[in-house]
Amino acid sequence: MTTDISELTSPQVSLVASYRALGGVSGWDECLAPDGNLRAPWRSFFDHVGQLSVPDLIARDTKLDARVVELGLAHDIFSDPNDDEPGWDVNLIPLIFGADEWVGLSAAIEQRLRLADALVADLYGPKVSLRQRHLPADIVLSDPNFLRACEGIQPPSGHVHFLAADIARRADGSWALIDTHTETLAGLGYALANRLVYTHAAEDAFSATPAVRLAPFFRDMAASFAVAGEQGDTPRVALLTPGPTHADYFSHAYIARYLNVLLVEGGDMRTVSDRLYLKTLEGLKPIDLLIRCVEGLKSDAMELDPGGFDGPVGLVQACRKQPDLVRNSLGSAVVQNRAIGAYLPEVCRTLLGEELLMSDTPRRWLGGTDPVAALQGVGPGAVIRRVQDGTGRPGENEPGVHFDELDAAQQQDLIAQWRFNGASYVAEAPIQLSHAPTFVAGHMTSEPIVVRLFAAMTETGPKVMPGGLAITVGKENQVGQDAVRGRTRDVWVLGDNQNPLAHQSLWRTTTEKARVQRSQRSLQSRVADDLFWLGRYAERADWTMRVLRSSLSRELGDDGQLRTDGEAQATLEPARRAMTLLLSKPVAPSQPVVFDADRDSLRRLADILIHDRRGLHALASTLDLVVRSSELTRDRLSLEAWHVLASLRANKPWRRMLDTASPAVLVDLLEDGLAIIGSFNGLMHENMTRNHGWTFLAMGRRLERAYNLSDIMLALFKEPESIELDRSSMVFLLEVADSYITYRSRYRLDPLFPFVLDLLLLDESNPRSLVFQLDRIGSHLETLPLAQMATGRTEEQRLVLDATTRLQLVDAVDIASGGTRDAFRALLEAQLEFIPEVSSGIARRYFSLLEEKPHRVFTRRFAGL
Amino acid sequence: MRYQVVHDTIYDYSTPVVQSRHVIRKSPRDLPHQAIETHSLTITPRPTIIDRHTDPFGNAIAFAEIDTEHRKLVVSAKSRIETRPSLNIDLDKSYAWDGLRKAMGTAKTCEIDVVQYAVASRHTPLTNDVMAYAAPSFPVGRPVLQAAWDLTSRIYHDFKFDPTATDVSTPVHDVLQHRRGVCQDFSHVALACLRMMRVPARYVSGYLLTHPPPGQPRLQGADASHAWISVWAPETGWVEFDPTNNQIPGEEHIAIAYGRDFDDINPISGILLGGNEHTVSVAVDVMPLV
Repeated sequence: MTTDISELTSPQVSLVASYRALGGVSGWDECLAPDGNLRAPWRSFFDHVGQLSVPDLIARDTKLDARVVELGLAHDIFSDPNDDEPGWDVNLIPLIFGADEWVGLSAAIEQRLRLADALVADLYGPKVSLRQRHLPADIVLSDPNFLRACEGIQPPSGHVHFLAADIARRADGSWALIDTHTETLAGLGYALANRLVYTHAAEDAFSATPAVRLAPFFRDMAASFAVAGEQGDTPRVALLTPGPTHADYFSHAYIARYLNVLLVEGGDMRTVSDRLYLKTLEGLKPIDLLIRCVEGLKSDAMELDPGGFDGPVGLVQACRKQPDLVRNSLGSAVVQNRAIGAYLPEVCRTLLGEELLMSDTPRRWLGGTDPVAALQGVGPGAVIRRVQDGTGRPGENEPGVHFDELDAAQQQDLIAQWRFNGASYVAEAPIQLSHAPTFVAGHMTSEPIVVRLFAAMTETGPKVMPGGLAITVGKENQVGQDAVRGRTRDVWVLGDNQNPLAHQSLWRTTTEKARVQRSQRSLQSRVADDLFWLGRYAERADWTMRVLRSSLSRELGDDGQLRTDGEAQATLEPARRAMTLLLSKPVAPSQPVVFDADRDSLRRLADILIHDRRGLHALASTLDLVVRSSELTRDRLSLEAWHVLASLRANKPWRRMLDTASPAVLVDLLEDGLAIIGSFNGLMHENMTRNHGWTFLAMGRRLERAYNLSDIMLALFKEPESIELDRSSMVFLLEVADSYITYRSRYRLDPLFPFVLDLLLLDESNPRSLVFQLDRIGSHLETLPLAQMATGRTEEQRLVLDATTRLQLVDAVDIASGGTRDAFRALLEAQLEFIPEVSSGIARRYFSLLEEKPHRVFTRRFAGL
Repeated sequence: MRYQVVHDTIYDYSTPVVQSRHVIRKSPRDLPHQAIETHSLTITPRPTIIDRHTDPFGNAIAFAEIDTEHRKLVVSAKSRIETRPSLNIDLDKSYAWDGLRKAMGTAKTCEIDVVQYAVASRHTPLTNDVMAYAAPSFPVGRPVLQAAWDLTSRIYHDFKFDPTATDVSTPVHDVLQHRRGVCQDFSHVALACLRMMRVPARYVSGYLLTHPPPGQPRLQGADASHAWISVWAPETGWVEFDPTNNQIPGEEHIAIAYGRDFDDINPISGILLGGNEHTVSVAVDVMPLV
């Protein structure tokens, strides 16, 4: 049951009262005591929000949703583009912990961090816990995440530097730990982003509740990365992510940016002589510390999973030489194994000499000789779960199987399978989860939650982040964070009120530590490559839309009347040629479809060009490529720029309208599309630092524009045509090349071929002219690191210089006059050859460090007899 | 007996290899029944870096990184080895296989070096068909070594040696289905069956002395590397069985390395940049010294 708060007159009473009116929830209520009064930690929060009017509350809630979308939190590169349901939701009502309770919780999680570290050190070292039978050896030995190759690697700074723990509150108010994450940062970026989203949307509520800020925790974490760089250099710290296709990429990119470390993928690195390097535009640069957000098993194809290229080949051997290189250490996932939980009290006593402060929910391993007895040991309601799963993305655990809900035959099947795969499963006692108040669409409701807390090893010992991520769990009696659609809430910890903390944020680096640095950070070759193609695709989409717009608007004359047949033919022919040209790439179809230059044919051509995905210039696929490249380079683009391009996504209104648009509105939609690309270009021009990344983006755009311009000019003016057609082609070209107004203001004449050629080929002040593109490409090439290191000009520089010079020597009047167009044709054909050469020259020089993927060789044991 | 063993692996690449790194396990182990008198490992082209250490299973590993461009790689291991005959073991006097687990579980300390070989590995998954094949060799109460002997002998009779039937990654499931393969496949089948019964058993890579047909001279390089298994019993420790030849290995088997399966002790694995297609040839020469 829910209560509509807008029906109630006094909002202050109503929020709490409507929650109370829901009636008692099963299990513990986070917010209300059994007597129906607010629990102490929640009072300030409700005192404040209670003063807000209902529209105010809804406004804040709407703002929260909007910020989630703006930040890209909800965004998933692989999500179904037609699925509009938000993938992430931050509730207006946080989960609030009082200072007293937090002391106990944080002590328990700190202890877990120390325990995980000690256990990993033991398992990859002396194995006392196994040898003395504190922990059944089979659990560890049968876990593929126990990486034998990493035995003996003992980092002096410790194995486990960060840990996340999923905890749930039982009906009696005590906490149980249901999952430990020691492999990756496990969604730390989401917790941080949630806090930022919340304080943007409802700063007043946060400030009114004296909750502790997160920045000091992250500052301590960042300080712990300050390892010594080679020869006193600034240490190069990188966060290793599986890449933009991974569900957790947002979190990785976000936290890397916040902590000011590089974001790298396996292919960005290479080991040479047992040392780890980053491939950059300037060559190989040593990496001093790698924050690992990829699975250990997939971190080194050489010695671990042969198919795992999430890390650089040779990483294990590099760690043997430099044990502190990777955090958490390779193989740390083994202590996530759920079957270990039952043995932790004893392991804790042995390794730490302490009593375990928070135990795991009761659980038994099914890999022993008698799995049925293990199952019965857990009691009724047991849930069967894998010993290891999930990526650490909050809410993304595989749901367990409720054994009691299976029929007898299914139960027998499952039991029979345990004989073979029992080592991969545990039976777990479910917890009746606690409930927390939730604000949904103007209503109060109550949802069962699980809380993820984060801890990190700092220079002053283990610290727990004073906050966290609470997730609404799908089914009331479910275990683990197998949540539906990321319904989350921020976690607030109340300060002790004595010494309110000053506002701190890492976004503004404190000046006492940082020196002013203008030199650019090294740019990964991969990122340069992706930005280059983003530039090309964005320009390609722009060009195709220009051609479409000009073609479709030709249907009608200036007076809105249909033209006479002869006129119409000359008017429509350039459009036919331009669209046919775009459709013919990369190669003309084997059975060329010949279109007439009439209105229906033009519409059909436009239709194919927009919707058919075949061909290099097909609009739908080009737009998808723009979006895709922007995903790949997301951590290099400003939020605004990324946002602008996101509106080109297939599931966004503009694309949907484009899909179904009638010819009447198509021109308007194309205008809108051009405005989107235009504002992206503007943002890049105004807001992006002129670093190497920008250079590659700009070069991509210039090369694409130079090619398209040369291509269309050749197609339209290959041979002299009738005066009407030539004139019409020139108008069309000037429109497409966005130079019509310039032309008219300059000449106040109908287009004349020599003047048009001058403006579009040779005019160095026209940003749409060919010579302008070449000139800019030339200056961009000069700024690149390898060009600066080279003694003479590089191959690409020579090519560009040659092409530019040839163009500059041309006399427009000469080339335009005479009966044939031979000189003109030769000039543009040379351009069309040279542009791809420059493009591949750049690729060879700057992206070649992205060499083919390494592959494995084997020998086989053959013989016998 | 004393031997000189030469083991050459030669890779020919269709395009130049720019950088390569290799893990090499071609150094025979020093064991109670096997003494290594001399051993050398030669790699051409000369590696930029070579590094040696011992893996968690006690085998010697060499890491080599080659940064010079090359189209051919030669890894040559040369050893002088003395082997002793295996002790006479009474297979019938070992612990019952079905009591083994309990005996191991109640010992005061857990012997990792033994129990690590009792759990499934990548190449020895536990499945229904493994269970079905293993069952006849494991009646209640049978001594574990006798069961192992029965199992390996059944494999010898049931499976046909056929180098064309399988490759380096053929799963045990397929081998069981087609009943064909090479020593590596037979060893994996035997190991999966033993581990299905939770008996510790390990994979052995090594060499086997081959005998030329009567009246013909020994051909150099005609020998081959070989694989067999080793099974643990409390009374005897590790005892070896050769399912490919239906033998208990003795003086004519020379062990290089022990592991859970082939993956752990692949003699050479490598990661290359460049190289494209490659052909590999292996020449093994086991020469008895008198």
